[in-house]
Amino acid sequence: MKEESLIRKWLDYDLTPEELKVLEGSEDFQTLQHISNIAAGAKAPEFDVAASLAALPISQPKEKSQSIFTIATLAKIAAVLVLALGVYFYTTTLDTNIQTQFARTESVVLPDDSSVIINADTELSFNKSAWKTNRNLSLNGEAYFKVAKGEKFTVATPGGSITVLGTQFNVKYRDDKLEVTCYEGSVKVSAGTATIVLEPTHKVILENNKIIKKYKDNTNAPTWIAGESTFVSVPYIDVIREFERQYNVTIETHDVDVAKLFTGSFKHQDIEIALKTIISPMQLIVTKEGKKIIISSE
Amino acid sequence: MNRELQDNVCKKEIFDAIYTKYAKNISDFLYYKYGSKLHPQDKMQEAFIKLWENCKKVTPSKAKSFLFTTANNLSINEYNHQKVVLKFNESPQKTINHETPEFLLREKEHKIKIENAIASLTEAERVAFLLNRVEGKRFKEVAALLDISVKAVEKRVYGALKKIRKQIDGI
Repeated sequence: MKEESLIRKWLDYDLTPEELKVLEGSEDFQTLQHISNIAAGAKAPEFDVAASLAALPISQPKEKSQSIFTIATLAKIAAVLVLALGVYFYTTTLDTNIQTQFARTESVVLPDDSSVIINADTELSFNKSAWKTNRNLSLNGEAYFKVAKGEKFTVATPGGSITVLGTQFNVKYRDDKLEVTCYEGSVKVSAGTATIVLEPTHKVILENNKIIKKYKDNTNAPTWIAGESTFVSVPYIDVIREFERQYNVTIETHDVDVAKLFTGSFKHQDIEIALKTIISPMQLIVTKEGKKIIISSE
Repeated sequence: MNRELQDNVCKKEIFDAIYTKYAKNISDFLYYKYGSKLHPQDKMQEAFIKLWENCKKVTPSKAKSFLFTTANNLSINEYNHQKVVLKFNESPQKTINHETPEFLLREKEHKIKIENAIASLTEAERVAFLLNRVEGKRFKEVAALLDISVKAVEKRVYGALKKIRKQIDGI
């Protein structure tokens, strides 16, 4: 037992000189030394570490950035974010544009529950995102508004702007002529220096920033909403233009006094009847060439 | 706390330092375990190339075990249970020859027996025993290199010695 622990210590190169003497005295020691000597002969081949390192076939330092978030990548991410935000803000603050074709009407509910019915060949645009603070829209054509109570509501047309607080009114801007009809509440119309406040059922016509006509119109909604165009002492050419818009046709006039005033209406459903209603009071005749309609005097 | 300053071994200086420190150890380890047939130096170098290729995933403290494992696996792939061949040089410290011819003859017989005995040790025993005897490493040094306990090293080395003695005494 004593010898075994000595041998273990001997193997671990941990013998004191005295202990070594004791072990050397044992009869086994010669064998142990012999085994150790022979084992030592099994030396692994020596080699030059430095030389073998130099010969190692590895590429020299590939100093690649270790972090994913280098300044360059962060910059790229930031750029993409800025671009995305830009597109987002650009598209969300973009004006909403509604355009109606010939012979079409469209009904639009605005963000504050106000509603607009847009007549044929009309362009209307407004900003959805700014609507809460700024009820502004621009109009080129004809539309009927039912405005919900709230902040100032402004309709801008090239021929003047209409301001209201909550009401129902019709705006028609055609051929430099602005017609505003108020059906409920009150409406302020301003064009250039001219300003007029309309009472319910009143109608005003302006041209070139001047009021050319103001009268009482005893209807409670514009007739075009119900599919009928009504005119009161309107130059005949305006009637023809409206007819073209409603039926998407082209009308030519031969030898017709288009400045003559017309009072009456035509329906939007049947072109034959409608045509008759606008030509017979004026004692005119009609001929057709495909989609083109020619109106001439008898 | 011994926090690592480098989180990988991609710096050439660090890699070189690791190479200098372990190249021989790994080469020895492979040689004592599998013999010369499997070209321990080549396997060692292959392991280092693998370390370089994977340098981003290996921290300096893990490099040693990565190298030993890789070198060992590379060798196992080739290893086909051939008998381990070690080249035994003449014992380095031949003292003055005053033995009788009879003794010399007996010693020569012993030498062959011992060599065979070493070759037929288990891999674990042979590696521990030769690192201890040939490289003169103490138990705790062998333990650190092989990532095993000092007790386990002692058991392997002493066990190896006992087996070899048994072979000689068996005559």
